[in-house]
Amino acid sequence: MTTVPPVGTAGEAVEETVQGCFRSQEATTARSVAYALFSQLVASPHESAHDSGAVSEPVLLPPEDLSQTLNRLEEALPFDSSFCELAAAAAEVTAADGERLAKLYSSLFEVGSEGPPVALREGWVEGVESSAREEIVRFYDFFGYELAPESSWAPDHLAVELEFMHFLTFAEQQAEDGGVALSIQLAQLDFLERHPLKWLPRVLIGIRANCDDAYLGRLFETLGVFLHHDHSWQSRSLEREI
Amino acid sequence: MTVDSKRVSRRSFLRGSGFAGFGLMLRFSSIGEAAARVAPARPYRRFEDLYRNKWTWDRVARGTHGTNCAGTCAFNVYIKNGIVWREEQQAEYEASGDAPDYGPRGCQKGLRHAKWMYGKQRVLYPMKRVGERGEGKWERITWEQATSEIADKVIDYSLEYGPESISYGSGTQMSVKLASFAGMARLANITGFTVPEFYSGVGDLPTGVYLTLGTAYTGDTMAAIYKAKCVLIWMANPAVTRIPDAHFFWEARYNGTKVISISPEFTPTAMHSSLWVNPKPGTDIALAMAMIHTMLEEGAYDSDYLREQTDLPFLVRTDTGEYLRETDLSLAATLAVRDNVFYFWDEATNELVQAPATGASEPPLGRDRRRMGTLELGEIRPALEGVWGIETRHGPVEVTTVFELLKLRAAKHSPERVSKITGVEASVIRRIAGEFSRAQPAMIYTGYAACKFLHGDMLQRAMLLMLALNGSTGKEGGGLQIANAPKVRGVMGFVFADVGPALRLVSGTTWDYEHGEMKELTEKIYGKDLADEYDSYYQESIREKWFPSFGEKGWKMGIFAGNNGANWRASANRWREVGFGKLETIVAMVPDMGVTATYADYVLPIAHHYERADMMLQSRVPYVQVLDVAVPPLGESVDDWTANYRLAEAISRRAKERGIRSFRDDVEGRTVRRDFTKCLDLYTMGGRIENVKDVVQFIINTTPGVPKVTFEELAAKGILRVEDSANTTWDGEGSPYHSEVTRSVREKRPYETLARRQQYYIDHEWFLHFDEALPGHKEWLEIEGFPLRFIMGHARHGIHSMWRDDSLMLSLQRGEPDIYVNPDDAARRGVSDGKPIRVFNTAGEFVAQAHVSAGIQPGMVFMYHGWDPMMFENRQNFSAVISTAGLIKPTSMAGDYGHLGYRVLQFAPNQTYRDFTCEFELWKGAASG
Repeated sequence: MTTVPPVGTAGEAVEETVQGCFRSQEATTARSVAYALFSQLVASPHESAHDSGAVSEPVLLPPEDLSQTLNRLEEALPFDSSFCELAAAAAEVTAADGERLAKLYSSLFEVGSEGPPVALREGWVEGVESSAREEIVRFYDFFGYELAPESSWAPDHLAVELEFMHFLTFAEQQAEDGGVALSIQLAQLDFLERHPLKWLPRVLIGIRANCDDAYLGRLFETLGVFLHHDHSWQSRSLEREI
Repeated sequence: MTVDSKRVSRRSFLRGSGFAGFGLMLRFSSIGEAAARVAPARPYRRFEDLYRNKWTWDRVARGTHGTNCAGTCAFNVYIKNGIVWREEQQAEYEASGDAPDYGPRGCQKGLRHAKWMYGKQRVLYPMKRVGERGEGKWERITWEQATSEIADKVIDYSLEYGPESISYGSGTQMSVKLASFAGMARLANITGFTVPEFYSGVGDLPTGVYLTLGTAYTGDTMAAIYKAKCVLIWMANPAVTRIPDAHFFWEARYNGTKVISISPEFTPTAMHSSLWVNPKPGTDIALAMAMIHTMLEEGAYDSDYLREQTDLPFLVRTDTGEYLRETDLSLAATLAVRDNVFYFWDEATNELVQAPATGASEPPLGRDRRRMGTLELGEIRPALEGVWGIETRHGPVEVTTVFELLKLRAAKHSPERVSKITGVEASVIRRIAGEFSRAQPAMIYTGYAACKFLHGDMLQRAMLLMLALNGSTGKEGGGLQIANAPKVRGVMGFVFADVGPALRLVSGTTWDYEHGEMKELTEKIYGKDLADEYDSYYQESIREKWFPSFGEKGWKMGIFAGNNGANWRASANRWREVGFGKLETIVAMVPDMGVTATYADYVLPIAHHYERADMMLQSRVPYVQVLDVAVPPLGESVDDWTANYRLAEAISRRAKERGIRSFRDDVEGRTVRRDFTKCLDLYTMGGRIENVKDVVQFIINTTPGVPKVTFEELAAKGILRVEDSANTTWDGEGSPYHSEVTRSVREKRPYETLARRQQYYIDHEWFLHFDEALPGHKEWLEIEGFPLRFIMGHARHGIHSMWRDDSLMLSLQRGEPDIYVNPDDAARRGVSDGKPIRVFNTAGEFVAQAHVSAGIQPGMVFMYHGWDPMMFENRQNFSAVISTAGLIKPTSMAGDYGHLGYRVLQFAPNQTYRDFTCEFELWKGAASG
């Protein structure tokens, strides 16, 4: 394994080592899509309703083509993944469940007498350092991920953190410069490790204790497994490269 | 970092990948489809690289914390990426005269707000209860759904029971934000909602000050402390409660001022004082009277001041104990009910003379008191001492002076006798009295604690007596420092503009008494006799219309804004059970969850301090302070003005949709028509008021003493010095604050009391009956079998319930609610430091951590207040044992006597929070109750 050179002193060397990276475009694309998908699946249905200007009650329904997308992701992702249980749980959700699920989402993650029963915000998770939010914003700033004004107050929401991972993976796929690509790859690993992976276990514990809905439960369990697998794969791939 | 948008867009990227079937938007980011190629300004190799970039701010805003610590500390608020990250004191204050300057101002709570405002206690979305009340099951709903449903209930209750069945309760947190308060009161004025007034409701109204001076507002700037030669800090703990201002005490000490702290417990203030005196809890009136005794005994008083400024030379009939009045002397006066002419005995002529300024007709409240004459004595030299025979219409009577009666009253409070009551050595009492009487000027700095005692009014009257004897009231560096408030012309002008006054204001104490069925509580704890006796006076006062009551049609809906009403009430858990039990609908408009919101049916999210525009005026510093929108309100929260706007809009809309016609509403004998279809139009003055900044501008433009600037100019500066504020005391007509007392002393303007002077003798029938014509010691009301006197105080690590649950604040204490107990008391009960104890009496019980401290006397316990019930076992906090909410002191309901009777924010019965006792034991598990 090559040691990471000091910042700004051996950019060319770094670029050379990244040439021939085994992180294929297809793999990165699949990962990027997976992060975008999970970001959307764990986002608030109320915000979607708000964004679309809907006047009816918010609904939370899995996308119609979720099963297809999950199947394709299983094939395309560069590590073993199994989304069949999530696909099966989503298949059981009917349009009639939409309002119920939206209300369940809010009662779990958005409202409560002492904060929501399950915190989908990193800053609300017990035991997380108070400096975590600052570091998240530093990550976003470093890579130019700007939040819209209406979202800026919650940079630590799980959906936002996952969208940032999507943003990074997309940027990796687009990077022409090997040094830049390596920067992005290393940032993905660090961000995942220091943020969503660090606190998602607490979310899962909360969901297991407070949620008996098959779809929502499976969604977060699947996300947890996905993040772990992606983290392992990133670690291995970066070891090989550098 | 640069972003190159010429490259493949995300949409085409995903389409090309075969995954284009689902949403492709970058949902949370503003960079959207432009995001293609990321090029960091420097390589990223490990997370430490993030920290190599200099942290910069997008903007620095001005602001403060709109909570009632009376601080209004100016802060700079630092913003980056739409988030407030930190704040620091805006150290741009100047000084008053040669006193030290006011800045910088701010405490640890204010410096923590940028963290706390993002905490999980925040209410971010409108919520509707879906489980049982208090169960904690909520549904997120839209603002439209929330306001429409609430509006329908407002209309239904108003039509069936009258709008008075709906209360719009606010708290001190609302009142300090002038524009927010004005908006709330305007909506109540338009709709007819009842507004239970919180000043007395929280037990903070200085009724003893009002009884004596005709105004409750006697506070100056904090810099006035520096001008005092002796300060008694009494029933106050400024080192804890006035962190930005406490330096004036310590600087005054360096300037030669004697600072004497009087408190049963050893406080953080006491440790910095020149002397600490620790009377037993609730014996303060006795201590004050003993000092008065000493001052009288030693002739240490300013007789000229007393003759001119006080009623002490007034003549009193020894047979009835009533003032000698013109009605005693003249049939014509009796027929004309001219019962406000009083007399001196003039030593110069040895004749009876009418006291100047008495007998004048009442000017409208707040108007020029020069029309009432002058206190100027001219050639008259009123006797302070003596007994004379007077011929009245009904024959000869003996008269004497109030001063003579005071001497008799003081004789019952000799230092030796009082020493047995207070536990303070007689020599110490004499020493303090001596220090105090020799000081010119002398000051008593007191907090609201005195107001919370059943007989706190008499303590304030005794304090003012001490100051009068010393001749210090109304002089710079002297007098009683307790409270001041801005003149309300601008705020109330906004409330009534275009619509006129039709506001239902009622004392929060009487509202709670009726709707919390507090008489039953008194009966349960103190027996039927006391409950019946107090209630008979209460009912008479209501019957005579000395005090308003809007309870006849029941209480159907409670809207709570800017407060945590179910926390701060004296016997709040009973109030929750009984009061909330009656309510069909409870609406909480709050920034943070607390016990009130937990028991509500609807919770509406309100913007926090850095997310809203407003203005504040607090008399302790000569500055007007801005609140500005540093960042947009979090989630779906909005400022109070906007919340009320949405409510008004929904009422109008639903009234139109339902075809609701205007209806007649009788407000204290006046008939007004309420047209709910016009609610929004009236609220916004026909659209002229678009937002809360417009309200601020209205208040700036119409409030005396506030520099006439635009909101934007105020926001740019943060603070602006108010007019007529060169001195440390409020003494000019041009300032925004009350200066009546100072000007009475300087310009000899009559006071707004019946006697037109500082009135120490109240010869109202009820005062005579309860032996309160003059102040005097009364025993603490103990609950039999529960020997420990329970004292409370404002906290260092929270302002009321705000910031109380902040993790850093908790870490600076013991991490959970604690109660201070004496080591011997603890040992006798097998309790050691840090153990949980059950505190109980016949009213209830709660559990807290024992904080064993030698600073606490035997026979008492002490607890800092504000801990929300949600932080306790079984949601029972100290209010579970406060058994006194039904103790409405009869004399505080008196009327038909000059200045007595309900006056908003001036005279009303305080809710009683003290005068109860308890017991404690080691807690061994789940509470039994």
